[in-house]
Amino acid sequence: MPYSAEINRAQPTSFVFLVDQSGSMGDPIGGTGRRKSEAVADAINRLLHALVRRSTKGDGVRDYFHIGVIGYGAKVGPALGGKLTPEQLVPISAVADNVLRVEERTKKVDDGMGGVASMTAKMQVWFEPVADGSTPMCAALEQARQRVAAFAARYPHAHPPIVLNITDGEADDPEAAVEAAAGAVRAVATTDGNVLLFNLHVSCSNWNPVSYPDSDAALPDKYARLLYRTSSVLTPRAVTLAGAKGYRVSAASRGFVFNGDAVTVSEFLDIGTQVPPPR
Amino acid sequence: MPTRSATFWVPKRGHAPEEYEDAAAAVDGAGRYAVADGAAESAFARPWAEALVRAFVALPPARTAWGEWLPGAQTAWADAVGTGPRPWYVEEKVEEGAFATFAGLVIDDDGWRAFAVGDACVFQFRAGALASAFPVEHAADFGTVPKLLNSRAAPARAEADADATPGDRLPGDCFLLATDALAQWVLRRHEAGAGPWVELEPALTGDGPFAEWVSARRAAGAMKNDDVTLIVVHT
Repeated sequence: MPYSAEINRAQPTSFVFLVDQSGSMGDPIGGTGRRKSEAVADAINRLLHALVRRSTKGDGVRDYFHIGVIGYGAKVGPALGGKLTPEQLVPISAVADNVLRVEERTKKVDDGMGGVASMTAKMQVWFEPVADGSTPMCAALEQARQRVAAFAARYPHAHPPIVLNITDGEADDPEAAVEAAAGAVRAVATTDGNVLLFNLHVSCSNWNPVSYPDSDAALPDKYARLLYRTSSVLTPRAVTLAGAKGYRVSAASRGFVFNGDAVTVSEFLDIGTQVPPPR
Repeated sequence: MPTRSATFWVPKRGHAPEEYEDAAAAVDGAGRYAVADGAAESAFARPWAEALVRAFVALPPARTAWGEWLPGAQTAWADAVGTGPRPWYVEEKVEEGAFATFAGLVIDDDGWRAFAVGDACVFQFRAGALASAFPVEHAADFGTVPKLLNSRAAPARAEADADATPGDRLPGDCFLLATDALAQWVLRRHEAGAGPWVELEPALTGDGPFAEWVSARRAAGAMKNDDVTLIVVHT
């Protein structure tokens, strides 16, 4: 059965995040007044934090995951800050040890007496929001392909890498070029299956998101249909989690959301990174 | 009421013995036995599993309430973990506490009582046949998210999550305490109509055969690759 390889330090898996950093990412995201770039950066920082926690034992961080974050906008390349700007994927222990800065966030919580209390929480930041330039998606897909191909060559029996692409607009490239670049990413494989490519389109509108569709019938335009076509089918594990979060899904659901809002972004990252528990 | 016990353990395939995160403790004189399985995603899970089983078997037979022994286990864990300075990610996990499943058994003249949180199990065999299974009764009921004992939560939380059962006993009955991988195997074999005890018993002589026996079942896909811990109690 594909996508069932055991994940351990000798045989990690990989997550590669492609983040659209074009100028329009500075516009507000649906559902909140925040910029799309900020909502996406928060969601990525929270996920990196969760992956670090998941990998931490008493003696330190175990390298169950190799991480890549590639931004595309005015430039295309590694987008984790500080010392974490290598051309290849970085092990999660290096992510843990290279926090860019720690932010104090205030959140409202139930005070248990019918009121609201403010609570300060620390938030580790690795990835900063950027919104500048156009949408060179093909170049980003090609950088992802190079990284996952190197990973698959090094770990030929590992759970295959998962590439999560977050974008808010049409690519600069022609449709056929995007399709070819995405196909080249998905063509990389280990003995446990092909690399998975999931796409999230974030919107500044308050239109209803189309989440994890199993056909392109409800999609509004050819751009949405292109992203649908380039998205892999969700693994059974991801379908189960999406169902538990209340999404209507089937075994043929694609890892694709159109018109996503702030909540959808976090859930997309959770659902998209479902893998067997590391040992 | 004489009992005699033997303990067996094998780490996960591909893992060193020092990475084993289960624990077992047995005191034949007091008729008290316990196994625990430290959750893979916690930090300092092995000291927690060890603290649990040691604290449980250290009490006299009549004392079994969670409030009587769990706080001592939590203190022992905190002592074993110590204090910083530590990297931020380790500190976060220490604050969250470690997690483990647990099964404890007390055998006395009146019968037996078992206590469990999660999917560590106690089995009673009579004349080689499975007579009771606790707390999990069907192989399909081993989920991926068992209930867990936390090294920082109040005993009332354990009380709420725990299962307990009494049982009677005849001379010659045999009890197994097993963490989940072996426990699931026992129930699968039982459900398939095969006698798990008949298959297991020859592996329980000395140190070598049990590890080989487990390896063979992992290789055949009959047992999941996980730490395996077993206490066999003969009465």
